[in-house]
Amino acid sequence: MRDSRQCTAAEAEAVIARYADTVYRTAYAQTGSRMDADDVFQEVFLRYVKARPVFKNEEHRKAWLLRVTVNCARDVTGSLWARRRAPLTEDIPDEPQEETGLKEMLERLPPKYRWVIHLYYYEGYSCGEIARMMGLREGAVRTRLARGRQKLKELMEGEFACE
Amino acid sequence: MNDYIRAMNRVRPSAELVEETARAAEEIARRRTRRGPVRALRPLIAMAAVIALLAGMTPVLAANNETVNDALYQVSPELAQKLRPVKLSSESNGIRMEVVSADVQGDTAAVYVAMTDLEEDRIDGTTDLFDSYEIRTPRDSVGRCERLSYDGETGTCTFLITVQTMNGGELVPGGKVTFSVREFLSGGEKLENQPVDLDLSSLPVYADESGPEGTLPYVVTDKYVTVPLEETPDSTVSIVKSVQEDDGTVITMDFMKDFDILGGSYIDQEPVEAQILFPGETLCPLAENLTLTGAAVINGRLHVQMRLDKHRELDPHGYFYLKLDDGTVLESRSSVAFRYHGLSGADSGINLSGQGADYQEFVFDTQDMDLADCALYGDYYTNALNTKGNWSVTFPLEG
Repeated sequence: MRDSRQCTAAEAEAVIARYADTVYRTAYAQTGSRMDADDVFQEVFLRYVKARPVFKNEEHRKAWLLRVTVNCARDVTGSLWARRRAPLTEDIPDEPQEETGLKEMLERLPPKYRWVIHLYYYEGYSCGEIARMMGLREGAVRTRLARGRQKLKELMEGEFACE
Repeated sequence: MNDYIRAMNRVRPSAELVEETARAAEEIARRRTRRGPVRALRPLIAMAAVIALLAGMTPVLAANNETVNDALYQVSPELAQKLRPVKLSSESNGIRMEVVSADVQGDTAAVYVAMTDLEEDRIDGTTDLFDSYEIRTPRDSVGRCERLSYDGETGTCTFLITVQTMNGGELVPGGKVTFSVREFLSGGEKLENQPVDLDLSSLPVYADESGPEGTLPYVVTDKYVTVPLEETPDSTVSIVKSVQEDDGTVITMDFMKDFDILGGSYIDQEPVEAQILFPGETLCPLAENLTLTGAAVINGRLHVQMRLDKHRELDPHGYFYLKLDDGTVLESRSSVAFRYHGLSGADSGINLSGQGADYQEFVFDTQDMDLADCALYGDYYTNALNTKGNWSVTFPLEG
């Protein structure tokens, strides 16, 4: 579907409604912080409205959003400020137990593995699709996924669902 | 991993965040409309033109006129698709495309489309629509396409088109979807784990040297250039066009006029600069339409460059990696894809001026390594045939 019209307010709202969860979860997976995920979420959709990219189909739109989300989130986790920032004692009031565990796991997993683990296991993309989306060699994605999986296994110390 | 998935399913943006983002996006969209009177008027002008055209035509003629329908689609996709006649089969260049079956369930339609070569063997198991397909849907629904299967006996490739509403609601009864294809690739071949015949320990070695006035934001030699990059709002990269020094002096990158950055990848860090070897003569062939054209060490990093011939027509592509003596595989830290319009190499005498060839250069972090302990390998993906045509089917969405 060639979307050659400019991005109207209604269309922007429709895209946000459709991809809010996808973008937010990817941002959270990479940053491990709701505060940072909130910032990335806004940045991604504002970039979308400003850039008004043209897509041939919905797959491309989603891939674009995920790529920008991963890049913005990596900027956050890679920034000197982020690395030096002390963790807040109360990042999220009344955080569910399951989310606390997820947050702790993400904080222990090196940032360079988080996004590929998320795109592969949660979003269900193949290594080839991830490579194409992020402009990387498929072999590089496979290697990073394998290393991330091993690291995750060590962290979780439990039964691990493998491919 | 199930725990990860379950926990992540509970992570959602707050309603306030979504609303705040939507309001900010709405404001930006409105500001752009106000600032761009030409753009704001364009849909109205287009509508006026379409109305004028339709005024002199019967509905059947308007529906069958591609030009009119294309113009109408830009203004009113729903009306354009409504007027479009159902066409379940299309033949062009000796190849037939037809709708095999369709199934609509709630907000999703799955449609199977087959392409068969009636005259030759241009369709095979590697058939790739090369992103040339287009799916036109009624308003508020979206489509995607994927290759499903290939039948060698009949020479038929089957694709699955999925159409889904954006808001999760039921598909519009009676709505129509148009699936069009302009070209496809076939004869695909992959060559992986291929050693490259190159002595890495005897490559030329270069290093940036600052000029008498200090460190410039760029470096130009007769062998390579180093230029700063900037990230655009849509997360692509481009060459910085000019740099302003502290004293106000503006330095423009005129020497980069022969280069167009097509893309790149950067692992773990933001793209800040590109170092590109001036394309040279053939060092060695790699695969069909893929040639090694440069290899050197710049500031301690190994650069390896390949030329991609018939890139836009046949999409050849590949990747390099290093294998160390201990079995470790080292991937490139970054790569830059670019088009070069100038002379090929300082002394080669090969003049590509005006023609433009596509290249990709891979950079490896080898600063603390002895390249004598490394071997260069590559994976290459090529296609032999590009077939063009004008295939288009339109089918109704009916439960």
